[in-house]
Amino acid sequence: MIIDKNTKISHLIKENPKAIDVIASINKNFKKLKNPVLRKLLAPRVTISDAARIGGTTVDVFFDALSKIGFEYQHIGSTDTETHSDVKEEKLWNIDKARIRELDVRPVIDAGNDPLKTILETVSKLKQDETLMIINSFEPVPLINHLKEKGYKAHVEIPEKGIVHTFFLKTDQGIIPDSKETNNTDMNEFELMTSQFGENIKTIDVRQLEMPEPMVTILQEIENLPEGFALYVHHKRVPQFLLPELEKRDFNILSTEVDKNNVDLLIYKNA
Amino acid sequence: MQGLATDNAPSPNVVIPHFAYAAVSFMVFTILVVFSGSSFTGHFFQPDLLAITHMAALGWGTMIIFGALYQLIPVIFETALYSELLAKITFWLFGAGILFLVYAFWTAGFTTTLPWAAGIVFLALLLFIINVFLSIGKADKKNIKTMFIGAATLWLGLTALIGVLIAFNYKYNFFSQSHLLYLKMHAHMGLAGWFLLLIIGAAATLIPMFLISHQMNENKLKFSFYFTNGGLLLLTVDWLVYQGSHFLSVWGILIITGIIFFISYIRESYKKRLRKGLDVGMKHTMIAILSLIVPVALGLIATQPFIEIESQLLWKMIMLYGLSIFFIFITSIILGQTYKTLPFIVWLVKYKSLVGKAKTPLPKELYSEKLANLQLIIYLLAILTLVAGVVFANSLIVEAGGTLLLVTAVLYNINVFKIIYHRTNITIENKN
Repeated sequence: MIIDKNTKISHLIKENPKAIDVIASINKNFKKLKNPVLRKLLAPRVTISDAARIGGTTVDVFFDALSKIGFEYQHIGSTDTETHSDVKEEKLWNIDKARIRELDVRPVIDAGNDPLKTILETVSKLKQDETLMIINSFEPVPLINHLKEKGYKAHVEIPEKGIVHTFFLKTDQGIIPDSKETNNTDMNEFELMTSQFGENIKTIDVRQLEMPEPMVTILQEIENLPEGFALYVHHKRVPQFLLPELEKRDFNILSTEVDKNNVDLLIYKNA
Repeated sequence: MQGLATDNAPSPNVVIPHFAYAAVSFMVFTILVVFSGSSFTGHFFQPDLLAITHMAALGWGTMIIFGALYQLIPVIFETALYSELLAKITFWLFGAGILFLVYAFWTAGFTTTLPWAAGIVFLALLLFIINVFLSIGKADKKNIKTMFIGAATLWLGLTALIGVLIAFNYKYNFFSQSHLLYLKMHAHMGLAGWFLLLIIGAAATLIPMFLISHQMNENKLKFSFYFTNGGLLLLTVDWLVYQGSHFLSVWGILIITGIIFFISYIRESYKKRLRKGLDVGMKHTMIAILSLIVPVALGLIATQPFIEIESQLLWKMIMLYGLSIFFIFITSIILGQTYKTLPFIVWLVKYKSLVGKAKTPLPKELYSEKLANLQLIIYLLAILTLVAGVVFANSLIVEAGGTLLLVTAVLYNINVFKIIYHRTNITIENKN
């Protein structure tokens, strides 16, 4: 397979699953890729050049590593160390220095935790005109994409190598009502919850089971689910008759439609 | 609970009485068959045949479809039934109406009791139609299966409307054409419009689910939908305007093309199935779907305009046509799907709160498989005997077939009530 800097990570993995190990070995920022759930979350959204930026490295490092497992690469455009993002950000708005809320997530990441939950909590507490500044060691591309969909402006600055400042400001059109009441689970909510559980996820596939085995399997699994874990289920449809029983047992369920015949479910105990 | 509506599942006391009523109706209708063997060897327009047909179509077929549909609506539409109260009122009104209607036919009360009975049944069906359409209206998810069920429900309304008009015509005589023409419309709307379309919609959901077949080609269902509905619509208009033109067989072919697309969809599901062995429920279902070939072939021959068929033979063909649809297609698929759905419905009620906390039985352990297998064999003998009785115009053979069918019904009833009255003997320790 011929790859370039715009090739999606998910395509690499699809072509050759060994790519997971190869990329994960580039540096510790890519360890996340080994978690199947996070991989699912990040891989389809991130290109090689995005990934290089996130990992604080260059696309050439990727090409070198990937060529060892048989990928051929071709250069398009500049191949220099990309210090500036090609994600379309707006120009930095006029920031009132007094109205910046700083959040340094590096200690959280160094401790091996996912900072997403903390970030989103902080975001939800932002006051009008208040800017959030996230200090990180890489550019949080999925977070930027997510918050942009929610109507936030984003801007990235790299004051020195290895330090990335990302600014977020809520815009007017960004006041999207919380979709918790709607009938379709917000895809992003599903993904965010999934990423919050990080590695504390047990995955099962019930698509090959005859009714009511999917329901029996799911209920048995949640009875044995450790504290703080979520159950990730590959299913053929939203299991209508399971839903009341989950509620009775105080479990929450989110769903996302993969295609017409496949639905992924995330089930977890209500906090 | 975020995102997903939790309580779409219908209350079991809305669903289960339909299964009980239908099971008893099946037995009653087989008893009626035993007592009217001679009517199966002549013309179809006879009081006892009309009584049997309506017992089968309404008390047996439609009643169980209502129950199953109330359970299926959350699965297909991803929304709750609009009103459970309305469903309960429909059940009582419809249940009483069917008995009255069958009594009216059996006693040949065409000008006395029939219009009243037909009116009550019509009202009950109207309530059902309202409930289904208000449920569809709520649904976000509109797909080809929803369209089949919606269209089937509309055809049910038209069938009932024409039925009630025919009944009133016996009393007030306002039709410009023979009542037999309207009867033909009534029968085809009911069979191809209501039963066939509904069964296609439900089977397209249930069969791949039970066989566990992935990645089905839904275009076949779309073609099936447009061909069957288009053909049926043209057929109706043709009868209404021209009292049957030379194009009847063309409309018939359109409907048949639709049926073939459906059979091809089921064939695909069968070939892609992950569950290789067929249990008794799926055997019954597959027999039903294969049996569709019989009315299709008979319909083709009867509508082609080139050969004169003498009236005795034509009556025989019409009798076999009705027999293959009611006694084989509809009856066999219901016999089969009862074993796939009812145990699950009762199982949900009794065991869902215990799953994961104690060892629970499988739904299929709620009935006797031995009895169900025996029922399948006797059923096959029954239909072979009935067909032979009609072909040889021998009322004794018909009655023998009716008796075998009655035995089938008894075995079926034993299992149905065994499932409905299933008791759990599991207790959980130290859990609240």
